[in-house]
Amino acid sequence: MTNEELWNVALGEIELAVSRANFVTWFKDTKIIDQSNGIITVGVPNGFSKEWLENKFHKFILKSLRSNAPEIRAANYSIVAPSANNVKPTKPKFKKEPIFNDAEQLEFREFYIDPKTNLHPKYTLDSFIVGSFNELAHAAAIAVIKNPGRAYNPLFVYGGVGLGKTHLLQAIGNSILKEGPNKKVYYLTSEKFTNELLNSLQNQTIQSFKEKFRDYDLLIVDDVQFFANKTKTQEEFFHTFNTLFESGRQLVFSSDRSPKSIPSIGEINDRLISRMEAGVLVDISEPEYEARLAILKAKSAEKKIDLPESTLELIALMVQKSIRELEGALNTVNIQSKYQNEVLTKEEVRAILSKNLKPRNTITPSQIIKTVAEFYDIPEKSIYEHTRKTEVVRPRQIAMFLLREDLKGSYPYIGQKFGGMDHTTAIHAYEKIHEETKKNTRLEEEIKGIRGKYQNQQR
Amino acid sequence: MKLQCTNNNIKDAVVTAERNTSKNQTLPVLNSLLIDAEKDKIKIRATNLETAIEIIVPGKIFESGSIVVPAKILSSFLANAGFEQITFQTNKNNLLIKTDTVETIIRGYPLEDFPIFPHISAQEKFTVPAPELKYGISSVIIAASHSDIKPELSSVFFNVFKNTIKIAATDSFRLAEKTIISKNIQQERSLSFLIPQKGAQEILKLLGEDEDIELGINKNQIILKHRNLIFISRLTDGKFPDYEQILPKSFKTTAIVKKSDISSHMKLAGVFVGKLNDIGVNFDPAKKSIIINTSNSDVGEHVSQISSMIQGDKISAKFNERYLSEGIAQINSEYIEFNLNTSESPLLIKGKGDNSYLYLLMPMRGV
Repeated sequence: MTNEELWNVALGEIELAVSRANFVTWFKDTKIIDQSNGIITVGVPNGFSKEWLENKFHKFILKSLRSNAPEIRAANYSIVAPSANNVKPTKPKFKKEPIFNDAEQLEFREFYIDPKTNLHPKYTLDSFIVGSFNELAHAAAIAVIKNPGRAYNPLFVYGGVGLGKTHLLQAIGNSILKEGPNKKVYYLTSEKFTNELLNSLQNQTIQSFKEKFRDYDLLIVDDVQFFANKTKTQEEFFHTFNTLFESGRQLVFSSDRSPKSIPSIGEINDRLISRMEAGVLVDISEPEYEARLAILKAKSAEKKIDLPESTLELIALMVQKSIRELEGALNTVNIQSKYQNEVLTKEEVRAILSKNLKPRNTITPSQIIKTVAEFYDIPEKSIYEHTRKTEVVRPRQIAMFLLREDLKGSYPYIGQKFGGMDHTTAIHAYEKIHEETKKNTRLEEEIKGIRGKYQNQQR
Repeated sequence: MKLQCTNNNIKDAVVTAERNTSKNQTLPVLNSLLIDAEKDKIKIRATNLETAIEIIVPGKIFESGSIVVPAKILSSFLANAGFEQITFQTNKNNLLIKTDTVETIIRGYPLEDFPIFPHISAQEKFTVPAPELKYGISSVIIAASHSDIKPELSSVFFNVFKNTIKIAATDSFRLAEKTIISKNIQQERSLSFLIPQKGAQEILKLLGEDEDIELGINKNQIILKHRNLIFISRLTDGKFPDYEQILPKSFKTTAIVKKSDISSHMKLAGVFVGKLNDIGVNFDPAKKSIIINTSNSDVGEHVSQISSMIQGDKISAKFNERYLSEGIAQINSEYIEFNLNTSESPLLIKGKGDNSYLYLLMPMRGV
């Protein structure tokens, strides 16, 4: 008989002999924690139970135990905290707490992050909404979870800000951990990797840093585009990558653009990028209307937001950019309707959203030029110079193209913006880039990335 | 049993003990008190199986014995009994109270049903000045969660190491930490434990003004021995979040403001706080002021401008008005310092030049 069975049988006998109140109070959360040489140790939840069982029920307990297991000679009692599963949460009391929606009050997020894996448990595949915009990424993630280290290695997910990359990456980590709780999983951003590296260099603990990172079964690195221009970090990361990859460990990356579009300087970077591309590349694009609506519905259910279907449809229609923006719009509308304590009309929702969503035409030409310069990593002022260096000409043409496309600027205006160039130069630039985007997908990616950047900057 | 004591002495003890009884339990004996005059002392005991207390009452014992009586009945009787001295006498399970003018019988419970007071030995002991401990707990306990879902968040965290005690509590929206430094804390090893909120509240009430107090800890319990009483509370089993990592190390904006100014303006603004309990706080270095505003669509709107020394960026954020004013209320300095980085990262409140108390508050979404 196992300890558990023995105790259950004994409890059954005891229950018949003592009053219900006594039984519930004193025998709740008790169990046999040890049995050796005929001595039983009974675990009790607190000092009171211990005293009570020792002094009032000892003989009785011993008798019940012996009638089932005659070899038992003695019993003693020891206080153990009830295990977490047994603790029934008492009804939450919100006596003093005002009733307000927790959705608006921010929390210390760090409390929920598992320090060992750096993953937030809220990101799961179940809560990841799949639409045509991300189904490829989702399928790749599933393949990785089923067959880590073998199916797609490394997995590289890219797409604009707020489209759910981090969610997907963390969900991969959480799922793999669920399948194999002993797996060593670690999630971090490229920035954190850089900071940890710097710290270990300062504290001269580089060796333990290396060992730490080369020990993971799954390493997830978010926002790898921030590795650009950090040669020392790249080098260290390159070695980590190789070690993990060679021993068949899974690697997952994300970036806001495809690896090819990450500004390339130096040899290490090129090698790193070609490694990252070696597995599978999947992109997440902007969600389509149906997916946006599904996301809004899921979010409302999760946050217990009660808005009419028509309002959600309107939000899905008006907010097209990113999931994060969608969530923000949902919150704003919800707060507003709570304030006014009524269902908002279509016009009111529209008014709120148009106030919060800055229209695209607030982008200034100089913003675009600045972003382009940053993206290609050239000094901003060189764009305005009449230089024909290829590394400048190309970005300049792209900037002109964007000015024409997004700001609907006239050709003479564009020419003048770029340090007084002829309008024909602008026409040539626009047409050249326009033609090329049709053929060259990499260029298209780059332009999408640049657009994403300045459109997000406005917020 | 037969004993005599003054009404005041026994009344105080009964009221204190009654707080440690429990009303809603399967075991009705838990709402009662044990009056014990077996040996040379009169002791009153009570327990709700989470906390337990034993109080010694000065008085004279004529015949030894003990009895268990309902706490509520005894305390209401004593509260209204106007006479100086009282004689208690047992008659089987009944308590007989006699004075010159009244004769009362209170029905008791069988003595053997009353829980046995646990004998526990403290593995670790340390001494703290009572007033500092009292102030420390009271300034921190406001941040503890009222919900029971996460026991570690509805408890008060203690970390004791050489000459220092750190007391902290958080409900994950805000965090309060008090550091007590005293030469009297003799503790070589670092020791940390969680006292459930109820136990901590009780300790607060038991602490006096001007003495050192000894606290003993073992794996599951804390024991407080103090003047004429012994108090025991269960400890929370769990791990308090590693909170030091969330304390920001640097800030973009720092504002210093007179405490009396900000608290009076907070009270004004509080009248107009909306349903979400939100208050807008705008740190404006150009105007050298903190501007707070509240609005309630049913009541009205309010804006206050409080002059302040501000360095850094201009930041607007939104906070829960109650959380913010509770934090401000705990600061004892003449000037308060507000530190923050962005409208979605925590605000650190402390007294100017005083790092012993920190109050960290997360903003609300949607500035």
